[in-house]
Amino acid sequence: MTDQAIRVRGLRKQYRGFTLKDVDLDVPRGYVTGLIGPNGAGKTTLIKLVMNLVRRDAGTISVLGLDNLADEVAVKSRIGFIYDEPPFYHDVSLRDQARAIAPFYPGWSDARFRELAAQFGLPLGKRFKALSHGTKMKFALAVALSHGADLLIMDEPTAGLDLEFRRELLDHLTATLQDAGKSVLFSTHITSDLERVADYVTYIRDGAIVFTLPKDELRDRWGVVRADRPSVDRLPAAIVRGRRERAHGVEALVADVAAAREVLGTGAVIDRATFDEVMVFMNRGGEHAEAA
Amino acid sequence: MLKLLRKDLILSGRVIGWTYAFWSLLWLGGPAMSGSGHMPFGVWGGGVSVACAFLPIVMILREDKFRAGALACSLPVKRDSLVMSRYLGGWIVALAAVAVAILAMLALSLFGVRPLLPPTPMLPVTVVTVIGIALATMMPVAIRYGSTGVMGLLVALQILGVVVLMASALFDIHLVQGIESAVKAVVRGGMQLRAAIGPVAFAAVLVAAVLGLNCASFSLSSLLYRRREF
Repeated sequence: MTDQAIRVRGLRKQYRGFTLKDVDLDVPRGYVTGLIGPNGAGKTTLIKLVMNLVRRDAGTISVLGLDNLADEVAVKSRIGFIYDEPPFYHDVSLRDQARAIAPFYPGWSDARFRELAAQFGLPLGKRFKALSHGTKMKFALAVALSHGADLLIMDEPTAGLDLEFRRELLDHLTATLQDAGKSVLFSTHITSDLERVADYVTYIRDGAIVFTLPKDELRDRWGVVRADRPSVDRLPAAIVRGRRERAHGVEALVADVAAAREVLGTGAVIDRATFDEVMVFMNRGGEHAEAA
Repeated sequence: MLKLLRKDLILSGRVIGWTYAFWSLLWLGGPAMSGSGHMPFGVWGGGVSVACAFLPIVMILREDKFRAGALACSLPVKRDSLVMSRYLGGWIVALAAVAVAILAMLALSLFGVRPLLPPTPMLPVTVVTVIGIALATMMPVAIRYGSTGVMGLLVALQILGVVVLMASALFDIHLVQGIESAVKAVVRGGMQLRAAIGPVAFAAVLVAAVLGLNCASFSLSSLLYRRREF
């Protein structure tokens, strides 16, 4: 058994105006990995490639130790997949949609589905189109969790949801992971979701993976230096991930607070970087911003 | 395969049923009201077969409308199996629909309503041929391009017809007559073949040709669907 739920090597997909550039990615087994990045960075494309919903131009994808093309049926029977816009039939009741999907999954449990439906307050007799966006996502989550999937893949599952349901959904993710070996990959724009549940964070920008790090390392080691330009210029380039000019000086995102403090001394202003700050610095061009 | 057929039946069965019920009013009510009794049963059956061949296309268009192709392709099944289920399901739905229509039309005669000439033994072959040609033509575009593809195909055929008519009228060329002659030649060839080999062997050849056409259509659809992105 491999240690990776998903292992991507040299993955390439070219569209007009966008290229996913030879991506390497490891999603560790048994953890929640959050995929973040600005709009158009390639998050959805990457997820669709894993699900074989779009054709790749190059590279390999292994899911739970199996090739996602050669072993497509076996792979997909072990994945619970949630889209940002769940693609269900609008004029069919939830009960019938579940009845149509259930036979495809050997591990499907009607009891589990009914339990989740009751827990989420799903009106099983209602047609899909009659539901709010939040309830549609609850239904998608109930379906994804009812067949004992080893891997959950979710594309922007919390987009457009209110705070209460976002928390509920994330709590379910955490509960799901109490079963050893279950893994989750989810893309999001909402950094507070990452802070709440993610164990690992993968940042993607312009079709390339910028970093994959344990969340704790990001939280504990990354920081924002607030100083004048000469001080920031003294920081080693290897630890500076981004910088921006401010009215009172310069702010720099650093990947090693201890190293920065060693250079600047104990009097320097270095705060822990919030996820929002990491996103803002990285979205502005990250390492390339240093040259600006 | 059964799981896929069952899925489509659950998700689209009701709409197909309503569509079929509505169309039934037209193809049973129309001839019954005209009551001329001169229309050949085979011609009526051919028309009904064309309409019934659209029922499975409606299933595919519904999937396209709800963007549910992504759902189907995220299920643990091969894309080729999905395509195969479209053809199998299509044939089952279309044949069952035509069979019910024919039985209903025959049942009308029990009540003294006889709007058509009596059916001939070639009726089943006519039905299979018409359904086979219609499905083989429409399936690849419906499967690969969804509603856009089907509408495009129908519009293209209409435009082709208009162009032929306009070209005939404007340039005084006999395109329509040429097409008519070609169709007549094919029919004549069929009649000659039938006379030469007998009706049973002719029916077998026709059905085999239709199945061959559907196999080719299936191969094309599979190739196209493997390239489709969601």
